[in-house]
Amino acid sequence: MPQLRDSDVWVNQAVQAAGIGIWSWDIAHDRIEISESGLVLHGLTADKAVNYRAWLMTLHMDDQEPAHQAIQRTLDERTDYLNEYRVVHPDGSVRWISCKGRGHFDEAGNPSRLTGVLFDITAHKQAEQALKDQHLVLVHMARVSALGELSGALAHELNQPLTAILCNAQAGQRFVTQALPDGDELRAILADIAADGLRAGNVVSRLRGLFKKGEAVQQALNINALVEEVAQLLRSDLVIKQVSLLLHLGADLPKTMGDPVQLRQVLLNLITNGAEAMAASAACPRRLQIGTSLHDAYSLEVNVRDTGPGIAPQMLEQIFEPFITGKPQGLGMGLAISRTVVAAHGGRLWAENVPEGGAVLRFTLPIMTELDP
Amino acid sequence: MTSAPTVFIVDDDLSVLKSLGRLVRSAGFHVAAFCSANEFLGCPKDDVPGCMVLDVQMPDLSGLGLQQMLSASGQGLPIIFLTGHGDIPMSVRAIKAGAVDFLTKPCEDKKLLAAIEQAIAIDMEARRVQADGAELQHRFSLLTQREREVCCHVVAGRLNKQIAYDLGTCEQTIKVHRMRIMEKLRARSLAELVMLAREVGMTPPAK
Repeated sequence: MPQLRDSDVWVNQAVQAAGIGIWSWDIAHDRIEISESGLVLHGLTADKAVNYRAWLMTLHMDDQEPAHQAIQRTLDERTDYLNEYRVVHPDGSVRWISCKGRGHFDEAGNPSRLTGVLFDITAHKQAEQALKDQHLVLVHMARVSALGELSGALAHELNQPLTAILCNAQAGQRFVTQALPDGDELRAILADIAADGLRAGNVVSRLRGLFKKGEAVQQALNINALVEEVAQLLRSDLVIKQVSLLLHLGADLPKTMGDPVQLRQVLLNLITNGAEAMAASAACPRRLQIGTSLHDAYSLEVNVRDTGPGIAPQMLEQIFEPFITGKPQGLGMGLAISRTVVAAHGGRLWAENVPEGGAVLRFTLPIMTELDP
Repeated sequence: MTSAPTVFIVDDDLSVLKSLGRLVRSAGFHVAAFCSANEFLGCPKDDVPGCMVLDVQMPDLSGLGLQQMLSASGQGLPIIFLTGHGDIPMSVRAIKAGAVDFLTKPCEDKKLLAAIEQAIAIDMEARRVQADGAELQHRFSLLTQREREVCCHVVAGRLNKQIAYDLGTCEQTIKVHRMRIMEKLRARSLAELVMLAREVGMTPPAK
């Protein structure tokens, strides 16, 4: 097959077969040559000359600046160019492109040309996104199921202010029918009704903070506020399980970056697990302690410590595997999901036994730096 | 025991405790409020008539636990349980242990106040029965050994003549004893005497 020796034909056939586009940017003349398949991938046609700006404009708006910076870096630092970006075609469809290249420099060391390949990674990106979405759904379902198990206690938490409101209103109704209603008493009743109305509203908004579904968000978080919020929501559950709760929150802790809904879920899992471990054995004292502190210069630590029977040494790692549970009605997903959530936040979740008895679950979260958005 | 009935309320939720106290006061009862079972136990109280309104779920010592402790120590006002999270086994347990009622929060005021009235009535009746019993015991304690002996025979339906024979004395003496017994026990008829004797558990003489 003599024609195969002809390198142009050979390369072209291979490139077409692979669906790869090849490109070369003549920097001095600002001209980009792109193979046929590369043009198609970018939604460009061969009838127009393409320069750097025209190429950049085919990219999704959010990806233009990062792509520009990646190219600048390649030329400045003489590193290989590697970038992934979205291209918006004239019909509005979006393709994901992976682009690789290398700079060429003249004798003076100035960049003369950037050459490389690009290929379509849309399917790969879609699969990746589907996986992410599925994980989000799984995390959400685990959260809803954990809240479902707590529904009795959560209803109680809402029922308390409602009871107080009803009793106060009924007492007020009786007081006003008296010959000489006590104005101070009535004012106090109305103030308490208002306060309990707010309290009920707070319970609902805390619940909403756990039921929320959707994209994971990243925001600056005060870990102590998050701990207090979840602890308050679980107050009734702990009373029903006859568990006393102690908070040891470190003062002036730096903020962390994260998704508040998912981190609340981790706290909820760890607290209910600890409480259940103690409630399951009649003999041990039932004290749950939640602490927050600096773990090292880069991370915070949250620990949830119980006075239950502790964890068998061979189980210390296994408890984080899915479907491993000590609870008769548990799914065994709580700790597995908590670990993936903490890991996604750049932290670590692990279990230890306390020498004096009981277990402690610890997790770290990176401290927010100025580089974080 | 002239003091007005007092409703003792125990609930760990301060706003619920306060509002319950107000509601009960608005219906004209005295209220003593406590935010935990231990606070209630630790507080010295006069032995006044009344009842208790207890929250079931409380930290440390639950309402049901407090009920057990109180009934074990023999001091017990009638109890009404209030719960936000009650189930049937829990209410059965409470009622079996003597609770007057088991209500769910939030609770209609009429229901709660009716239960409180009922509980106080139960307490008053128990106090009256107890006081009557103590009074009767006192009257019987005034009897001499001999009078007690004669009384046993009388309530067993024996004639003076037979009693005199059994106890080796004369009929006239028995008549005197009998008169004194009626006086001391303030019985106006033989039928009443028999009833009183039964109330204190007096048994007929061994044959």
